[in-house]
Amino acid sequence: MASTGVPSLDHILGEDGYPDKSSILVVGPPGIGKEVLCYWFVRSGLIQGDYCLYATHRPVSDVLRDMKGVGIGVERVPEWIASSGSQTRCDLKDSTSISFNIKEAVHRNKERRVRVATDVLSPLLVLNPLESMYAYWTQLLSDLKQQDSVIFALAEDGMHPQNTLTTMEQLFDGVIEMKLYEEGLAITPLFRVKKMIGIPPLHGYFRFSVSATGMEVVPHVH
Amino acid sequence: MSTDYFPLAEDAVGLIATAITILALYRAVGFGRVLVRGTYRRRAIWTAVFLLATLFFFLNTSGIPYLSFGAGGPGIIVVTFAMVLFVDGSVRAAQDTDFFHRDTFRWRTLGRPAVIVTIVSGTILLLGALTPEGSAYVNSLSTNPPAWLLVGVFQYFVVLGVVIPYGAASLIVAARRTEDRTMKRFVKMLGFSLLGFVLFFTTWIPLALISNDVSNLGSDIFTIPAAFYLYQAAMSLSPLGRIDRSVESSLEAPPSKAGFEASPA
Repeated sequence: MASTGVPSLDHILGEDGYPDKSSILVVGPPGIGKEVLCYWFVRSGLIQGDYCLYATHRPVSDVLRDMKGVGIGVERVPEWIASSGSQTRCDLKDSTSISFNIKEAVHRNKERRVRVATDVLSPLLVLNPLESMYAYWTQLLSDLKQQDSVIFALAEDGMHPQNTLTTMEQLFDGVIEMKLYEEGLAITPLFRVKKMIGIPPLHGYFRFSVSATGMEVVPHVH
Repeated sequence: MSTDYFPLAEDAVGLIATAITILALYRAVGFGRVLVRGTYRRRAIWTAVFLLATLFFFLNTSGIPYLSFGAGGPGIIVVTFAMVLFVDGSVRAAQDTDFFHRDTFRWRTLGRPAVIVTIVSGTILLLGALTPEGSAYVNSLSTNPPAWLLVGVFQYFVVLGVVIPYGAASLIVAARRTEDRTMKRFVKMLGFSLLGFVLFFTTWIPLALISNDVSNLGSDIFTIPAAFYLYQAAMSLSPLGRIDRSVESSLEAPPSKAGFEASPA
């Protein structure tokens, strides 16, 4: 199992975190904190000595600034495939090269456990037909899971038709949905585990909070 | 409607617009508290500040006893500060949700200096307006102002005349470029609200041909749609879900490893 980097979330998922050789999709609107889950996942991997790869459509400097903003030290960083600031460039118009670079980097580290985090799913879905992206991600996830790896992808809610997200959710072993909910006049950030391979259905919503000292997840009781 | 009822109706309109704006402000603050990433949190916070400025404007112009406080020119300068910072925060959030992070009209490079120039030139004018002779001029426009104050007023409105259209154009183009539907809706609602304000500022002129009471009420009434669309804009800062009680009701203890895949909730 691969720790999520958030102890309270590990506990919710059955103490150990994300299942081995799994692919996890986190869906949520911009700004809600999907990336924070991603950063803690990568940080946990770096601490445990896993090989961590971060494929992003953003510049490395942006991601590092964000990490610092949520209290994650950047003394240890993953290998980057980014729009700028990395040796390997992430070109959204060339999905083949993104896939090739990810697989190539993972293959170079086949003796180690691998964590791949990426936010390129949504841009690629916007720029390419759904059918080709379905085949693309099916192939990529399948290839990566040949090794001891956990793949963590982010998808933007509100940028795709619902059927697109539902289709992509089918490809992943675990789906976590983060959203703001309206309760009377209050606005509450909650997430729910829509599915997770290896554990029974997790009903209910969980409230999360992010601070400079970490992330906390607790069951939400209305 | 008897002419006696006109002031009462105007007060009612003022109160409704104020109440809607307070609700919008509450919502924007709510979003600002829960959004995690800095760009979006700042956007929500500046939206709240802009709503606060609008509230200030509504109260100031409502004529409602005990609520209007005659802030005059300095108040308007502070409102324009909030407007410029609000546009800056919104353009940056729109650029952030653009997957190619395009620098619309070079806002990332020029927007921040433009905001700084606006605030500096506005502060100069504000300090001038706080002097006795400046105060007499900006509040009544009837005295002969000192030349330095006229220069201050002129330079500020030149700056505003450049920065606000530049910011508005950047916001519209950046919103068109992003795939974020909430951002597109946000800009659309803002546009409707702006239309409400434009009608508020202009309809009193033709209506004044009928009577002053009709003119005041007829233009004031547009503050309600202006406030309502601002509320809609605040509500579109992030999509909101409704809790599915059937999912919530069966909250279970942390699971054991059962070795099977969960069905989607």
